[in-house]
Amino acid sequence: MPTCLECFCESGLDGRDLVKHIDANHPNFACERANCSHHSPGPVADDEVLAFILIHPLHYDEERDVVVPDAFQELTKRDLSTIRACLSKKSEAERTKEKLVQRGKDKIPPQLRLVDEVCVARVNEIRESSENDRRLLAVYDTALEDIPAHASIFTRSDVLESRLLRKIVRNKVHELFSKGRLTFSDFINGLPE
Amino acid sequence: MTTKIRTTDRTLTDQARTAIYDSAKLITKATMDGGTHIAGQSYWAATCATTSAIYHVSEKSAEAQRQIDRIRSLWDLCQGDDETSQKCINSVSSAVSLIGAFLTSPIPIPVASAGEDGQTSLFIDGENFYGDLEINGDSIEYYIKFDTDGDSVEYFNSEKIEDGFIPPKLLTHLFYHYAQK
Repeated sequence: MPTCLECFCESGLDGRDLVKHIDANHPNFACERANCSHHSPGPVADDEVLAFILIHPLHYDEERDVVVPDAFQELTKRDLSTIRACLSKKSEAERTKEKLVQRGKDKIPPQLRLVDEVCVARVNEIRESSENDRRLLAVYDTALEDIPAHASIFTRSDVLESRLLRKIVRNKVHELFSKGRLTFSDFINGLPE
Repeated sequence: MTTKIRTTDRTLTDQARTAIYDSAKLITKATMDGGTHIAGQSYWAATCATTSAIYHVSEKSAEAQRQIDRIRSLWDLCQGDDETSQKCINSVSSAVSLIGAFLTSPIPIPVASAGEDGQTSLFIDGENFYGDLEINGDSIEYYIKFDTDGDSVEYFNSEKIEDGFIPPKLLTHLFYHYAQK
């Protein structure tokens, strides 16, 4: 059986295939207790806080002050990229922001993306999300070479196959993240250099 | 917390449809009259008992227009391959029609958004109410959740959007929630 590190880094899989592969080899989100990246600073602890960078105008309506559930749609397709607040540095957060903005510019036609806000949620609350007494969400340490504080939220592979469960997961993540919003500058001001 | 997935009684759906469309006609008329008063004969509006209602409707109108502009500004996302692009254009078009349909109902105007794979979404965010409506071409898949009498009630379904109207079962769920207020 491949290790968690092998599943994440050497399987060559991504998206739903990766979720299925991990579920099949390490059910019940067992990889939460393992390093899942060669650049890993260590598994994500329950008392950590994750930050999700919001893109304007895709993810929220500024005038109504509402984050839309669509902001979290990546979670029900593959996984949701976040930053571990306690391990992140200013430069890393800035780099992540630049990447997101650049990804918009690279599209044809180019998309204007502004990053002014982030939303945050506690890891223990994310992990406690359940439906019919079965956990829905996992937080894995998926550090990237240039962003070691990168972490990903995954769901179960059967959730991705169920239209109702996908909507329930979107609702849970929306509830968790939309209550903890702060400006991007406030977020990075609280990070070490 | 109790969670129920309820089925819809067709009779209730028909009743709601009649009531809501009657109400829609009145509101539409008020909107049009309100536009006239504000543009030209505002002295008339001052003596009208329904002035506040007209201003309320005008605000709702403005918000509907803003959401339509918002979804159109996300139109650039409709630039994938031909199939995705056509699906996206149909979804945007359905979303615009639905926002118009919300305008002529007692339900608040939802927040519009679009994804990169050709679907659009409308989000209704109210007090103890969550409505995630995902539009794919001319069909809508929705998950709505609200509290009633201490119970959490959920509805999940998929319906076809016909003639730009809010589909009947969805309309019933929304109507019965907002009608209590």
